[in-house]
This record gives sequence, C-alpha cells and structure tokens, in this order.
Amino acid sequence: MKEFLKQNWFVAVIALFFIGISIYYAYDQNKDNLPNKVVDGKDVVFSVDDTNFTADELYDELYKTYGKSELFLKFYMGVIDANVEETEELKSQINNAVTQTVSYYTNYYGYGLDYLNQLAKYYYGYPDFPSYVEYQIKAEKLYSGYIKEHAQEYVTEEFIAKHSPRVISYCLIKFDDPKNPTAEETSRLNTAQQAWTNEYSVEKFAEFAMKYSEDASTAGDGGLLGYVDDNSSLVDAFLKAALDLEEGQVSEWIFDENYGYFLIKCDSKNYENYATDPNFLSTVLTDNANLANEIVWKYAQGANITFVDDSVKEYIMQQLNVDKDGE
Amino acid sequence: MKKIKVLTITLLTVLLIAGCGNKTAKISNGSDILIQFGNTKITKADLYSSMLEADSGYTIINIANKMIANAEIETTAELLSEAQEQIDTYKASLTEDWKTALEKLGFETEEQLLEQILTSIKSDKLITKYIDENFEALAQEYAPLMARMIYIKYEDNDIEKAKANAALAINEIKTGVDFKTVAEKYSTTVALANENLYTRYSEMDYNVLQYLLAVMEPTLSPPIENNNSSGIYIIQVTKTNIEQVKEAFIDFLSGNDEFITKANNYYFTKHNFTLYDVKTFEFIKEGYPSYLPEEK
Repeated sequence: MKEFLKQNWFVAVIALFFIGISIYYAYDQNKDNLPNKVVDGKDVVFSVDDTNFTADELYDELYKTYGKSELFLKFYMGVIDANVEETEELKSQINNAVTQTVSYYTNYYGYGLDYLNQLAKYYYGYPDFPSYVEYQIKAEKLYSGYIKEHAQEYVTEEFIAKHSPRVISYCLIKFDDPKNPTAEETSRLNTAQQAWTNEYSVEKFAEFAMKYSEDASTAGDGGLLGYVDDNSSLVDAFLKAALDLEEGQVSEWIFDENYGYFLIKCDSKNYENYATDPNFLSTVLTDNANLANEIVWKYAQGANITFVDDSVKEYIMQQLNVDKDGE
Repeated sequence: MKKIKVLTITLLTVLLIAGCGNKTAKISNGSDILIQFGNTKITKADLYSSMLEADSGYTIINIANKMIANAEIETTAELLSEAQEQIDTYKASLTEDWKTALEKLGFETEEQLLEQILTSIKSDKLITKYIDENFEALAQEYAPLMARMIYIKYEDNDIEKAKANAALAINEIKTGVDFKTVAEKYSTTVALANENLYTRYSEMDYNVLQYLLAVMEPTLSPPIENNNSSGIYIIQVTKTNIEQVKEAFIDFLSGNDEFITKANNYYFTKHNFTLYDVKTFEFIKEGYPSYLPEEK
C-alpha cells in the first residue's frame, strides 16, 4: 500500500481533493432539503407533534372545498382539448391575445401578467392568465364549429330578420371637432368625396379605404370592420346606415358628431363570410342562453364519457344546466 | 483501469446523493381515473395537483392550527355552549331552511359547523393563553401605559403663540380643568385627548415615544416639541401600573396582527409543525411564511 501511494502520490492527492469537493457538493445540495416521511406506505405531507397528515388525507380535505369545481374545470378543458385542434395559427392567435391584453393592462392600469394570473386563478380557477385566454379562444372555436354544423338551426330567417347580420367596411375622414371643422379638415373631406365620386367604384371600395381612411385600425385591411348586427356597439348613425344597406351597396357620407364622416359599404350578407366571427358567435350564444354549455356536454357525450362518481356527473350536469333527458 | 472505475463509481454516487432532492408527497392510487372521454383521462393525481394549486397552503395551516388548538385548549362544556349559542343566533337570523344555509356555508351537518366554530373559538383562546403564559415578558417588551395628549401645531410658524398656549393649557390642567375641555380649547387634534394605550411599538412622534418610555409613574409632561419641530405635545400619563392597563393591553394584543403571527409561530414551533412535501412547503412559504417554524 505504502509502495502504491509512493508511486501514485499525485493521483492520490488529486483523488482526495476530488472526493472532498464531491462530498461538500452533495452536502450543499441536500442541506436545505425537507425530510421525507412515509407511514404505512402513505406519503406524509406534514406533522404536528406525533400526528401525521398524509397526502391521502389532504386529498380528502381539499376535495371538500375544491374537488368538484376543479373537476368541472378539468372536464371543460378536457372536452375542449379533445375537440379543438391546436394549429400553429391558433397558437399564434392565443399568444397575440395574451400579449395584447397584458400590454393593455400594463399601459393603462400599471399591472400586467402577475395581476392577470391572479385574476385567472382566483376568479376562474385557471392556473394562469395564458391558460384562461387559451381556453376562451379554443371554446370559441368549438362553439363556432358546432354552430356551423347546425347553421340551419341557428341562422334562421327569424335570426336574419331580427339581427340583420352582415359584413361591413368603411372609410373615415376624421375631424377633431366635427361640429366645428377646420379648413384643412373640410379640404380633406372634399378631396376624399371627389375621389370617391370620380375615381372609384363599389368594387374598388377597399382600395379607396386603404388610401383615404384615417382610421388606422381598419384602413390597412381595406376598411374591413367585420361582422355587424343590431347588437353591435357602434355609434347610432353608423349602425343605422350599415344595417340599411343591401349587399354590395355603399352609403352616402354619414356625419357623426364625435368622429367626422363615414362612408360605409355592406360587403356581404352571406353567412359563410361571418360564420367564424366572434361577434356573430356572441349574438347566437346570447339568443340561445344555454347553448355554450349544451355544446360542451354534447361533445363530451360524443366521446363516450365515463364518470367514476355519480355525484361528480350530477355536479357537472348541474353546472352545465343540462338535464338527464338530454343524454 | 481500476482507478478510473473507482473514480467513476464515486462520482456517480455523489451525483446520486446530490440528486436526492426534496420530495413531493403523492396520494395512493393516483392513477385511478375519475372521468374519461375519448383519450382524455382525468386521474386522482391530476385532480390532487390542481387542488394543491388552488390553495393548499391555507388548508394545511387551518388543519394544523386545528390540531394545535385541540392539543392546547380543552373542549369544555362552556366552550361547547358558546359555540352552540353562535349557531342558535345564526339560525334565528335565517330566512331560508337550515339545510340550505349549512350547504351555503360548505357544511353537510350541524356537527361539522359546530366543530369549525369550536376551532375558531379555540384559536382565539390560544392567543389569550399565549398572552397569559408570557404576560410578564410581554409587558416588559411592549412597555404599555395609558395616556392622553394635547397637540398644539405651530400655526403660521408662530412658535411663541403655540408655546404660550401650551403653558396656559398646562396651567388649566393643573388647576383641575377637565383634560378634554382643555384639549378642545387648545389641541389641533382633539382625538388624542382620549385615554389610549401606548406601547413601545406605537406609531408616535419620536420625542413623544421617548418620553413615554422613560415615564415610570402617572404624571403631566412639560411641553414637548415634536421631532420635526412643527408643534408641541402635552402628555398626561394616566396609568403605568401593569395591573391597571392589563385589560386594554390584552385587547390590544389580541387584535394585533403582528402579535397574532408571533403567537401562532410560537405554537407551530412548540408543536413541531413539520412539512415533508416540497410543493406545499413552497405554497406556505409564499402565502403564510410566518407559520414556518424555521427559515428553510
């Protein structure tokens, strides 16, 4: 042994040094760790004096308060996940919605993602805000898909007569104080009006809006506003003119005392062109109060749902307000 | 070759030991399926994980607190009757049936509600017990006394006028005019004229606090200029004897969040509250750190 150490003393020193470092590393990694405890094969979460409280007991205790509502949320998310394909486009839509909302809250209220995460968690039970947005958007897809499949049930003549659904585009010439226009504002309006009369036609409305509209949110899309119906939150004069138009018609220049002058076009009254618009979805879901829940329940049943506990099934049906006869 | 083998084994052992980190307590039968549709399975473990996220910290603190309260405070007939009285009062105020009201409170039976109320009463008693058991030390630490004050602000920087008013006020008090009457005449803040409990931790002007901490007997102070030289205080210390201030002191401590936290920490440490699960430990560390007996 002596001979061995004499011959390999350098290696031995290096080895000792290495072992010392290793032992310290192992100690350092473990010094702050919690102790582990298992009693009768069950993992213990905490103890007070000699009384242990196991994970199984904690499960039962938590279940009393959170069990059914958490199961409902999991069920709801599960139904959506199973029926909405997560495409790259959808992912991007979700990311954009999250980014925009966080940015809005940060700029206007001074609190961003942390605050929204808490809202999503405490008011809606979601783990965080991005999950909340994800399932809101996915749910819209699910409902849209269902309504599209059953369009004849929901987009009836009665629905059309009641709501006058359509797709609208517009061009806006903005005035700071429309009741007291400046010479420059009047000149801009005159230029646009002359251009529309002399150089453009209904078919070239998008081109016209792109060039003359002063509404940055729509000008880039050729003035496209999207779905409009009698529930739309728009200024009265605009909404009335928009709902009076037939497909392919363009209105007169409409004056609004807050914005200036609008030129409005009805792009389409065809259902196919607004089938996926969230505002159309909102009108259908408002008209059919429990439809969203019924859609979730129908998709769940379509996948042969199995409940282990009947009380959970009853709770979920109660939350969805669907009765057993509907099964 | 043998040396390399030994070194490799040593290295692996060390890494293995280092990797034996914090453990997450798991439920039995976590893979049991609760709901299944299509390929989607919701298991007990999934649900447990979500419920832990919901607020397991609060639930654990509640359960541990209940265990400690039961160990410290005996369930006497008097306590039972107090709890029952609360239920009866609540019942009498109801407009709906008892079963519905219980369900809204999250209980299935009246016994469960009674148990919850008992725990709440015992938790309050736990604080009182802590005060009783540590009264002398607390009295020394907090240095409680009763006092009332007059504050005369330097209006328009007229220091001389304020000083003159302070002298007049002291004179009137000494001649036996009621303190409140004098305060109404001279004080900028009349509310200070009420007899209040003050302790070492009272949020008061520094100079006033120093005076209160030095006083041993009931007395009337000379004019005391405040720390930022914007006015004068006149302080009448009314009670310094601990027996005389005991009731007000106990009331003060029982409603003081910082003190309640300290008392709870004492009992959680005394009863060796120990966590073995890293997830719930993190939740408690974030939401209820004062209950952790020692900093981890």
